[in-house]
Amino acid sequence: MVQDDDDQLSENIPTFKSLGLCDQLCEACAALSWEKPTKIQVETLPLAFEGRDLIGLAQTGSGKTGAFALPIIQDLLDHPQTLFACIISPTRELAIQIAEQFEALGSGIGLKCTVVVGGVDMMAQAISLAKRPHIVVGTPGRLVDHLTNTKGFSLRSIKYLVLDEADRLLSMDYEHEIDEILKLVPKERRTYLFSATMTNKVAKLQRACLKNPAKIQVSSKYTTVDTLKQEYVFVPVKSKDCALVYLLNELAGSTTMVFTRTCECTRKVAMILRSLGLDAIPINGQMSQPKRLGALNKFKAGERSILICTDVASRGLDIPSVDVVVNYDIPMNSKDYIHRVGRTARAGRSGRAVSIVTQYDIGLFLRIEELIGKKLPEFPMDDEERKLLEERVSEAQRIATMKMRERGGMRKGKKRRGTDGDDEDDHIVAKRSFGGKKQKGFAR
Amino acid sequence: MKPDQLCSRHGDMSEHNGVLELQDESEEEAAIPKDNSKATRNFFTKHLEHQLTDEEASLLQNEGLKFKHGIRASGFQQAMWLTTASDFPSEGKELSTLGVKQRLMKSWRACQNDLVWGDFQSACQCQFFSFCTSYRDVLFSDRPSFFHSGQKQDTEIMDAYLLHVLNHILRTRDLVTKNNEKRDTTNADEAPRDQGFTRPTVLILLPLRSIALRLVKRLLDLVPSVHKSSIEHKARFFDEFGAEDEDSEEDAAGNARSSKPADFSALFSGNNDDHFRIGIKFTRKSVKLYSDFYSSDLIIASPLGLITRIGEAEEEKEKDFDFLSSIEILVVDYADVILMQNWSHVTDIGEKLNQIPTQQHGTDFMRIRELFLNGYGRYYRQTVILSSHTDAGINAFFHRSCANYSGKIKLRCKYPGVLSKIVIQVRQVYERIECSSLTDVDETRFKFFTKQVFAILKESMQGGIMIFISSYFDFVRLRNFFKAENMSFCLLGEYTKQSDISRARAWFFHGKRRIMLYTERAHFYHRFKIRGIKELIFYSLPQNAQFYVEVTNMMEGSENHSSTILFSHFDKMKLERIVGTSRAKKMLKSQNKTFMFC
Repeated sequence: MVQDDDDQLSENIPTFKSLGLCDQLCEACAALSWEKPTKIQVETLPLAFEGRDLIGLAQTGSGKTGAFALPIIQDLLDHPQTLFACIISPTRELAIQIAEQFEALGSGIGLKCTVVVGGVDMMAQAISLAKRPHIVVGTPGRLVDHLTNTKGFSLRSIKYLVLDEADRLLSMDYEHEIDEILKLVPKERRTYLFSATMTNKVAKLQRACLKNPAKIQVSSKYTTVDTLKQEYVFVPVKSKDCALVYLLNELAGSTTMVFTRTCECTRKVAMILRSLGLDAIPINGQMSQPKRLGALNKFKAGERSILICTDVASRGLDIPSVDVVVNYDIPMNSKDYIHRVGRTARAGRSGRAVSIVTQYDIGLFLRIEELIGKKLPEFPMDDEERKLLEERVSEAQRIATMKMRERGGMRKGKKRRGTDGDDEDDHIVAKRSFGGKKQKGFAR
Repeated sequence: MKPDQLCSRHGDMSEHNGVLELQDESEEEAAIPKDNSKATRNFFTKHLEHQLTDEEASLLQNEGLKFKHGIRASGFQQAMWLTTASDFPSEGKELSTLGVKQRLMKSWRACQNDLVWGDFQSACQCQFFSFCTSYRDVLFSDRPSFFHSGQKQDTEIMDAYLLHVLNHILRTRDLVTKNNEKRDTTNADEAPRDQGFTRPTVLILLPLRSIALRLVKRLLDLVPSVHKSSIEHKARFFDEFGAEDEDSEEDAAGNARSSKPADFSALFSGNNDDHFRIGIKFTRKSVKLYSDFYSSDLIIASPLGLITRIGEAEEEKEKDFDFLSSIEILVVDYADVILMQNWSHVTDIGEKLNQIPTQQHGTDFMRIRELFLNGYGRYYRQTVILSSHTDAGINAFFHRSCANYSGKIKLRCKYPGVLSKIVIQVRQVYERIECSSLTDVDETRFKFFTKQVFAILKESMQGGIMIFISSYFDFVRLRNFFKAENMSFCLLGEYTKQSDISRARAWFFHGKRRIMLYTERAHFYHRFKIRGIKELIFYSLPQNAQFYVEVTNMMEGSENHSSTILFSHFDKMKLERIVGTSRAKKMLKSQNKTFMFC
């Protein structure tokens, strides 16, 4: 978990203990080397111990999970009960990560936690639920699936409901499922709602499911961490791949995440890089769950140093060793930029983010600069050297396109979204071509 | 930090359950004095609520079995029951001390004729029942069967395990219905854990329809009267499992004429179809035959019938065999007959039992017992195998595939041998094949045969040589060998056509063919009386000692009888049934390799 550096300045740093956390959990935190509470934890814990409903507006990587896990576990210790809390998260990876944190914190007290996400065998999950875990973490789609199809499983007894990344839950059209779940949980409960932004939809959800909530806002402004070095390179669209290869060469030896807009693009870029001998691995919403986890684990373990991903991975994933983030495509939504570059320079480390800006992306890029409130410097690129790469890259491109076409035939019939709908790439693609034309005339 | 703090409440829960159960018992069986009910407290609950740790389970997987303790087996001349557990279950003569339901006790007493041994017909029955009811695995390898020892003794044993099976089913059902009611009236938070993934808890494997008919008849006799105010599909059952009328008359007539042995006609007189499966459902008031497997409590099937159902499930996506996931008791009766059919079906079924199902089948998941959720079903399954003799396949299944945590009990018998039953003067020469590993034994046996036995056969011009072979693989091997050697021979195997059989027998009798190959299965299914045998060679020993006698006695009528018998260290079990236990020991240990009986 991440500790914010800002706190160090103040003299009387609150400790977990002084916030009212019991000794057992303080020990558990220490075992995870969480030395002091993060900002959001400092704010939430006392309110949570009072028994209030909470709304937390906090950016990613701020220690949110701990902020709701600790009070839940503490209450569970006082009132042992199975099926005690339910946590809803927008993506499978995030759900698994939350469950891991719960298990880590509760390992000493026999806490059982079950993850209920799509893409994995229903039966194994049903068995796990039948073992009556204390905590259920899931994505809305699969959770509703179990509530309707697994006989005997209900959330009637839960005491806590947590909606994590609520803005994302709602933007992914989970409204219907969340309504369904809200109908099936008891009225007498505590509800925590966490969101990166306060959108209209989130406000509506808040009115629907929270009672007299306390609002906690850790930082309202979108900022990026100071230890992060942000740059851009400006190239024409056709030399994007070449620029990417150049950047990866320049930054060789570091762990890198490359963000693209579409699933198709992750595959293509990965193929190009691989045929040039770079150890890249793609991850996207069209991959099956075990494959996604496999790819992620390979990357985490350091077997692969370059992860090519869509925005699926832009939030919540805690991969502490990322040094560099490359934006192969500039995100359509400026806030996504913050999430993307938030993957690096975590926990007080330094990091580097480079965006590849083409003639069509200038408008988007300016908006990002506006949001983060600073002008970014250009990455020093040696054009001569880049041109040297061109020939090999275009050969690799050709091979990749050929391979994609071969596969394309097989893919077509299979183009089916996962039930969780983890990626919103489709409509982004549509928007892009529209927006692109408009901005054509811009020059920097 | 206190470890497993959160689980403490759970522990309370199960204890709580235990208390409830105790109350139920005393309510229901109020007739029994209090001290009694406490002592017996219900093997059913005890067995299923035992908490097995992961370490114990992994031990069960790998543990080498040691049968440490033994007691005399009642009802046998020279036999011992051996167990892997530290003690034997206590043998109560009264059913009430053995945790049998009150209702069932009544119906048991009503349908048993002469109860001379407490509530039992004999000490043997009593002992066997106490083993069953202790939920240990039992291998009864000297089961008196109706085709050898007569109806009475056979039924005694069948009744004993049926009583146990019924008791198990009724207890399961009563617990579930009681909990259903409780949940309807009160709104308890925690669901009681009282069932498996699917409803069937007992599987009985039987070789033939006629035997299934006998068993179901007996079962219906034993079912308490309240539960059988109606029996659905009874007529259809008797129609499908009874003998086809015309055939049976013909058979009966044929039997009277032919000189087939009595055990053969007893076994095959009824409907001898070996492909069947049937589910039986017990409700409060009725017994339903032919119920769907998923709503049945008991499944009765032949190994072949069940394996075809499993095969269908593997081929078609919509079907599955999840109904085998929660079997708590497996009974394999007449394993010796199944051995003649195809034992590998039984081992295959054994592997499919207690697997995690693929579908939910509408079960309330919160009520599934933890043992099933942990995938420990197989460590709680009781397996009871009954056979009139045992064999390596049965033993391997019993020792390897059954991993009941509560231990195993098996019978060790001393056999007197069957040599005295041979009516003619025969010089029987036993040749021991030296071989140290099981994998090489077939190869060594074949080499021994070709070098030592066949060399002599080939030179002499004598005809009328019959070679008896126990396994079909050896049969094929010898057939190919003889073909290659261009010998004059004929075949009588289990797959030989009727017309070929008649021709072969005629050729052999008239001396047109010198050698005949005869398999044990062919003998089991047809019991031919082969004439014209001058010399007999047992390439391998028969499973059924009786067959040794029958085949040897076929030599009647010729002069100068002699037979050669090949055996190895791995034939110990077969050998001791033929020559007797003590002699078999000597023959395997002695320096001599050749032994002769006259």
